[in-house]
Amino acid sequence: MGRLFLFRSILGRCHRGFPDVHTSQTAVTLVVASGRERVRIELELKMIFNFIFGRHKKEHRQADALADLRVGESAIVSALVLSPPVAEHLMNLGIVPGLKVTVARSGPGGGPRVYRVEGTEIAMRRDVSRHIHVELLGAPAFGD
Amino acid sequence: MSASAVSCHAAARPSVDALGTAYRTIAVVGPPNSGKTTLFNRLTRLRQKVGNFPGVTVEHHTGYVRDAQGQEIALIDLPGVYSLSPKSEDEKVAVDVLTGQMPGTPRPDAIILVLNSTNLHSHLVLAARVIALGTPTLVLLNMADELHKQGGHVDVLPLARQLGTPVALVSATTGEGLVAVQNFLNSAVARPEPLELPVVGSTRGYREWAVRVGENAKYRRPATPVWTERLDSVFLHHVWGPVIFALVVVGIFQMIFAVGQAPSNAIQRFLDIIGGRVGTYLPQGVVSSLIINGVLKGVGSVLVFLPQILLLFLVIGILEDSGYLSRAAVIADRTMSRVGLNGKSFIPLLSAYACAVPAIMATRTIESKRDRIATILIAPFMTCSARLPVYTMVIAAFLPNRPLLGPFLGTRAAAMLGLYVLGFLMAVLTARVLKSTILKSKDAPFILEMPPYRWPTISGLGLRLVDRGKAFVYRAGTVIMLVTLMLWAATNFPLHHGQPPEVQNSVVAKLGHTIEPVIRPLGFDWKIGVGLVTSIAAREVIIATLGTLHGLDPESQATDLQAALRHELTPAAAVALLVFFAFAMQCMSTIAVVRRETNGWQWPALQFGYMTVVAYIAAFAAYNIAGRFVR
Repeated sequence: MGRLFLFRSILGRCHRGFPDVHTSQTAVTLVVASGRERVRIELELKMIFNFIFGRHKKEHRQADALADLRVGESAIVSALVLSPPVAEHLMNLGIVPGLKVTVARSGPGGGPRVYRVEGTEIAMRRDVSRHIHVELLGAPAFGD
Repeated sequence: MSASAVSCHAAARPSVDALGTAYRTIAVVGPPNSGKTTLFNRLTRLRQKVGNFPGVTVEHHTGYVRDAQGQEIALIDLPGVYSLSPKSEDEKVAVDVLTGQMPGTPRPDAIILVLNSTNLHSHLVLAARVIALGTPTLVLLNMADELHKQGGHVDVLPLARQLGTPVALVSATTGEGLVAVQNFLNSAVARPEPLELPVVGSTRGYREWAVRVGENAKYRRPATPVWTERLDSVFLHHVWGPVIFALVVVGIFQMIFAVGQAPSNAIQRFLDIIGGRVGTYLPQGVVSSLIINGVLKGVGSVLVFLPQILLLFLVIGILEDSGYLSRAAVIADRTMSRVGLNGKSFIPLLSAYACAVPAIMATRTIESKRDRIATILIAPFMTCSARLPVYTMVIAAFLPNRPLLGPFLGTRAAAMLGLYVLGFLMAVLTARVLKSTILKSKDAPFILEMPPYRWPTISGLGLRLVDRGKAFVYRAGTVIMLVTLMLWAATNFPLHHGQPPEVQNSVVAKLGHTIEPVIRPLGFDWKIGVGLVTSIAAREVIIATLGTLHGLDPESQATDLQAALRHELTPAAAVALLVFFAFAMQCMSTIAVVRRETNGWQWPALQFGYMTVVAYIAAFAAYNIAGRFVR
């Protein structure tokens, strides 16, 4: 709500101060002139929509760490940036570079989350999963 | 090469047969929670504690099996290991035994490697390392029943060919395929041919090798059990998870009171009848007094609590075997991390509710040395089953049972729960203090494997109950009996004109009166004082002590122990007594095990001193505060 208001007030002020507002079916173009400079601001409608409704979902989200995945998402482990004993322990459990890990579920509160790798379920805290680098696979693959 | 190996093998056979079996010592190895102990128990008919969470076996145990010739073979059950580079104490035990570095245990002649067939890829990595030791090895792919039920598959023969060892698909729970073990025991197998292992010794290399081997054996991983998914969506739910956790804990206490009371009363009646019989058959005198007042009143008053103790172990057993305990650790981790402890400390601490001794041994799974010491130091604050008789009796003597929350929670169960919480809070507080002072360390990572849910088996639970029941009765028959007899002797001497003295003039009373000034501020009289001294041996001894003292005192002889307690203690002093027992470290076995696990007297001494001081101060405070509210 607050963001909507802010956006409207900016837009409103633009209308009054700077009359150069062009709208098309997909975008709004503001031409802002102050002194000698003229700046064109192009706002895609999709962007405005996302701005208002808070949809910050990026198309190509770069999840670097296991901790950044959402429940149900899968990724390929790329590296374990942890102390050798901890990394070794994780690899023995199956968190091995090259294997697919799925976020099975999140525990209550900010507690440990459960990850699934090759049928083994492993619970770990964020302070560990933050240091496990992954490459995102995106939506569950077909037939998964 | 292979032809020569075969002929060599054939040539070796007769000589082995002539000698009988070549194996004298066989080690059972495998990753945690792969069912080694279940297998071990099935083979040796020995009863080890089995649970459905990683890290139940922390020591090595030895059992014996017989081969076809009737020769005894020692079977060593080892703690689970993921690799052969030991990280925690329990893994070190396994590696030391396997490599013959464990003093007092010969290097095993053969290895039975137990792998979980539902998780073959990661477990084959361990197989590569174990087989590389060069010891004759039998590979058992355990949990065949689960594998097949969930649509998994593996071909044993290609696997055996690739590993160069015999391989069998078995189920330790159902006994399926265990014939292979007997065959292995009866026929010495040649040393495994050297494995073609990946040159790079990295876990990743091993893992790729494992996948290749698995593919060649047509390995198909079973689907995740549907019920595990369904149950986890409830037990690890954001809201329901903690709610169920709390309900489970409350349920345990309510059950101990509601269900345990009737059989407990039955035992009491049985003992009374025996006492009556003995009284009529034996002439009045020293012997009759020894049996009735010394043994029956003393030991009997502790035995009465057998049903409650068994119930507690039954419930904990169900939680362990079903796999819920690992989920509880996840739920508890957030709270535990606030205290500065790891969710992994939760499992030893939870088993400390049964007894601090196995709990302290279970801390071996904690990798961080400082975390481990901290967990050891706070474990005796958790309310162990030896406190249960004391709590039950004092609460039952002073608190009428009224429903508090309908039929779900009565006043007595609530009081009991309160005492458990009290112990837990003190453990938490102590942990906080320790972790921010002498045992400061970085947070150890919380990484825990979640086993699938399994039905606890009746036989598994039953065996454990029999074991615990035996241990309890054994303690009543030894430690408690001994203390009781000494106490009886001390109350019957010095003889006065050939007659036992009045209780007030006995040695015990003298001892009691000596320490009375110290405990007077807590509202205790000399009898409780004697109980406090004897209960340093074990907590429940105080009941035996009071039983004997009251049995000998003509004033309270006729009444039961509860009535005698009401006569003895003011309600405020009863509260103080409960608080004292919640905090004090009155247990020889715990002190001994802490000394053993920490390799020295300094930690147990510190712990005993600290806990006694805390108990004294808290009991003093409780006595004075409670004195204002209850008269």
